[in-house]
Amino acid sequence: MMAFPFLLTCFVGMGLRYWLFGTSLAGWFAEQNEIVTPLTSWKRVTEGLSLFNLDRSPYEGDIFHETPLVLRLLNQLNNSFGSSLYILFMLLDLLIAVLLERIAKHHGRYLLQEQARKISEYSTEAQDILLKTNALQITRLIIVAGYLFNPYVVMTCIAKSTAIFNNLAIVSAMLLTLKGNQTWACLWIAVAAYLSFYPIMLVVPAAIFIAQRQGTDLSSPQCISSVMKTVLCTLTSLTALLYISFTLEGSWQFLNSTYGFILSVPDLTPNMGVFWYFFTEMFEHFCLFFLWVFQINAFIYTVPLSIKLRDQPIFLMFMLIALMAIFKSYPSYADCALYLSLIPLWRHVLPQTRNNFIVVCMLMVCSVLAPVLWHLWIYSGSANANFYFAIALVFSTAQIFLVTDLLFAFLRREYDLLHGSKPLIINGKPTEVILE
Amino acid sequence: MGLINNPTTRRKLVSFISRFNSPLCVICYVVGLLGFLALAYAPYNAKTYFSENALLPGWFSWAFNRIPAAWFESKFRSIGVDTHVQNFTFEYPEGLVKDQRFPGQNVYGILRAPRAASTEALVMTAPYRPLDSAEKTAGGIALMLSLANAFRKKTYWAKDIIFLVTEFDQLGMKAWLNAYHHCPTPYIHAGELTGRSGAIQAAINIEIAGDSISSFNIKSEGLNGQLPNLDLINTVVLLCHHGSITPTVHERADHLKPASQSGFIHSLQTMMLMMMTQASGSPSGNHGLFLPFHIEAVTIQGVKMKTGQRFSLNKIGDVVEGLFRSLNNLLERFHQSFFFYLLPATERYVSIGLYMPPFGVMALPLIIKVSDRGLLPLLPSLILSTFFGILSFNTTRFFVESAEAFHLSASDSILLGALAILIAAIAYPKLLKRKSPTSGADWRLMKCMGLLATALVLGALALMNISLAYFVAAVWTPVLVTAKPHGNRFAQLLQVVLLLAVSPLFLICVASFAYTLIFTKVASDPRQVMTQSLDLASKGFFSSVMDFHLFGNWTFALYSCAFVPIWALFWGLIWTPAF
Repeated sequence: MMAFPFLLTCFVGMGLRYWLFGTSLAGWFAEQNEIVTPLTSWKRVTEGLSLFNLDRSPYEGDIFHETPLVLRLLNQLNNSFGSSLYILFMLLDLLIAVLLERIAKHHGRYLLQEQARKISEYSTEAQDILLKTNALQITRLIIVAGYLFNPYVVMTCIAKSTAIFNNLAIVSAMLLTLKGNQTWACLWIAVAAYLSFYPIMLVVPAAIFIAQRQGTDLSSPQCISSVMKTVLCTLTSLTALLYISFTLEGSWQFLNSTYGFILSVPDLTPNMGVFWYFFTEMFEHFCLFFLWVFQINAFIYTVPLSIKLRDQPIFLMFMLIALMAIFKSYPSYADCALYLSLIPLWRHVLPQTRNNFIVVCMLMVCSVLAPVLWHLWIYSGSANANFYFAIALVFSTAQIFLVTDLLFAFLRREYDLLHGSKPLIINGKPTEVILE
Repeated sequence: MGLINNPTTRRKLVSFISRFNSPLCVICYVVGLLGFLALAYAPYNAKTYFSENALLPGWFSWAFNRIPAAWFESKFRSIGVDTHVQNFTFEYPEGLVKDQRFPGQNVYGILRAPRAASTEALVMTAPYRPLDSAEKTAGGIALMLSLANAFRKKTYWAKDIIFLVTEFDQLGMKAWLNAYHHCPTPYIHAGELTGRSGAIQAAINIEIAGDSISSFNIKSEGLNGQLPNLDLINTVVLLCHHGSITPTVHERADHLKPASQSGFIHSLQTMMLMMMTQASGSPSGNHGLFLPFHIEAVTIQGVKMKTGQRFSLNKIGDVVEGLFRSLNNLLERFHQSFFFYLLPATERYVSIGLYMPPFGVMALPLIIKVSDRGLLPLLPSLILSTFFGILSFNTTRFFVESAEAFHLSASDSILLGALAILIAAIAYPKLLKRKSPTSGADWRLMKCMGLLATALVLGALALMNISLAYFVAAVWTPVLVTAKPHGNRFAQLLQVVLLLAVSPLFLICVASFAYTLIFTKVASDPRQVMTQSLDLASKGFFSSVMDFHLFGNWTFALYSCAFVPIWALFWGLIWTPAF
């Protein structure tokens, strides 16, 4: 019964992309700083490929920042697809949509299992907010439609941003973690980390999830050995990938052009993040210090969130993907699109959110004003960098609102499950739960 | 975070806004609308001042003193500047005149600066028009040639000066600029430039008909409502005063007592004229095409009155020479002063900081009336209204080609096509209704989406073209904010009339009507005015399509991709079941 709407969604989604690839929007999107970054721009890839085909190392210059394995993969794909390369990007988008549908299925099953396990602890008044199988079925369709028609996803696809490979790796890692497949999950996390470094954080929720499946208590020796195994397996895979790259490339030079480029942020082309503005404004001798501050900031949330959400590792994984998208050094709509597409998995916490209207407005305003202010700044010369940065800042703020709001809603629902969804009555007045 | 996360303060704010919702909206709208107009009153706006001191306007003695003659482009060589000819061809977009390319030529001479390598340049340009055309430019060309001759003998130039005569007005200008900056466009095929100079810092376009003028009219509005740096206009105004020639904007000199009532009305009219020109998005002269390339430019137009004092070309030459001497002093690109302003008089300006608050207040009802609910039942209306936008954006070629069979002119066929799409948009709520009699589309939600979209579009537009945003906000805000499905038949009829009256196509016709009344002086017989404005409406719509393809004027794209879908959404809204 679900097959027809699912197929229809995929078909319309692909049709939309096919049509847009034919319009002049494709070229425009491929140049927009909000959509592609120096790390993911297809223009830079073509530069790298031609250098590679001329037997020059693309890592000698300052243009190309993809990893050696991706370089060879893209070269192969570029040769076999030729001018119909856009079909590859459409297919990759479709593949991610299918993987998301699988994630929704397994995640729904996992949620029901968890609910059945803990139901004895829940308040008797929490009946209304318990999950139903039907609602979870619909989620599978919503997540696919939400991905294929998300304007940010469409723009990323039309711009031929290579961030799509990164998103594919993260989605695969998530699916395999949910399936409990330790080796493959580790391998895909390693691939995601190999592509864009930051996803190495995902090893924490994956390790917790897999350990919880095997043992009951997090401090039991079984669990600890499982966690160790996950971490080691990921690190081994990552090392193997790097070593293969080294043997193919014949030198370690690529490390500086890829991870060095991500970590030391030498390219200050404006984008929707906050790095570029701070580092253009800053005095040279403070740069190193603030570089450490900014990069540690991207990683630091792993610790408190892992402690708070240790019983909900998949939500932890989602939070980390979202924070990565906000705080990474070269963020784009592609990263934002990925975690926005995952939100339907937690559809049941959305009634508890408070700011989604404001957040949606903020995101819309930013998406419209960013190109306008970019035009006024760069082409007309009548605005300046501060205008564009203001919009980038609002965009980041909106995302932070969204993430904290979702975290709040998630915790609020957990609280309600234990204490009942009706407010307590004290002195004849209903009380409120406030997060402070 | 406190404000939006703390439920108590938030509830207070929300309940206040929802309680005084309607009076707030009315107050905001009226205050915004009138507040904006009040800015034309001299005490409420500011006197222009020089931000860029490097211009040093008027700090030199005058040297130009030659009698101009009707020399033409071949004279450049004899003057001794580096002379080149550029060939270009253009074709009509959207298959209007098939497989035919029209040739044109631009002639330019580069005076190489004796005091610097050719890294920076100034441009003096005059359009070449045939002698029998309505607005002649022969005087401007003559002036340019004699100025070139005079400039060449001076040693103080630190920037190259390019003297440029263009054919076919804006087409030639665009071809030259495209070639200079290597930006090819699909319909204008610009030939290679055989000689070039450095980065262009500023450009002055001269339009003078004969050998004497009574005042200098300054034209500032550029493509898509972009304006040149205010310092450039200040320079022109100041130098005009030096030469005791009256500077005007929109052919209106400053009022003697700007703070009086008649002074206010005078400046308000001037400001409105400027806003109308800016709102159209098309440049008011050749200078407008320089602005998108980040080159500050103005047109100075000689105006000849029947009575009053006349100035000879000698006097005019002094002003233009002074202008170039000032620009020659520039150390860096224009970056100080204002890029966003409105001019109620030549020496008064309303800056962005002054005009944005009233505009914001006027558009605020759009935000106040927004409320939030679930989204899914809206999809058909949203998709359809977007579809109408895409349709009107992409079908001009189709309409032109299919109209050939009926022997309709291209401009009429494009207008009729737009009308057809409007009628289709009018009919679509009926179609939706027939398919699903109890479709769950909540009109409040539709309205929320529509108002948000309107606020967003107007907000973004206000940053680029405040005049267009102001006019659209002025007519749309009250109608859209009050739009809702009525059970009462009379109220519904009123609503339909109102909404049709603010439909984008009708607004274009009204705008053309207003243009005819204000800018052409023949209007005396009302019937004549009607036919003329209808003609102008179709021509205006047609030329906005042409401008979009030839010069990159966004008015047409905005019309079809933003205004038509929003309007269609609201039209659908008033036909949804009221509950």
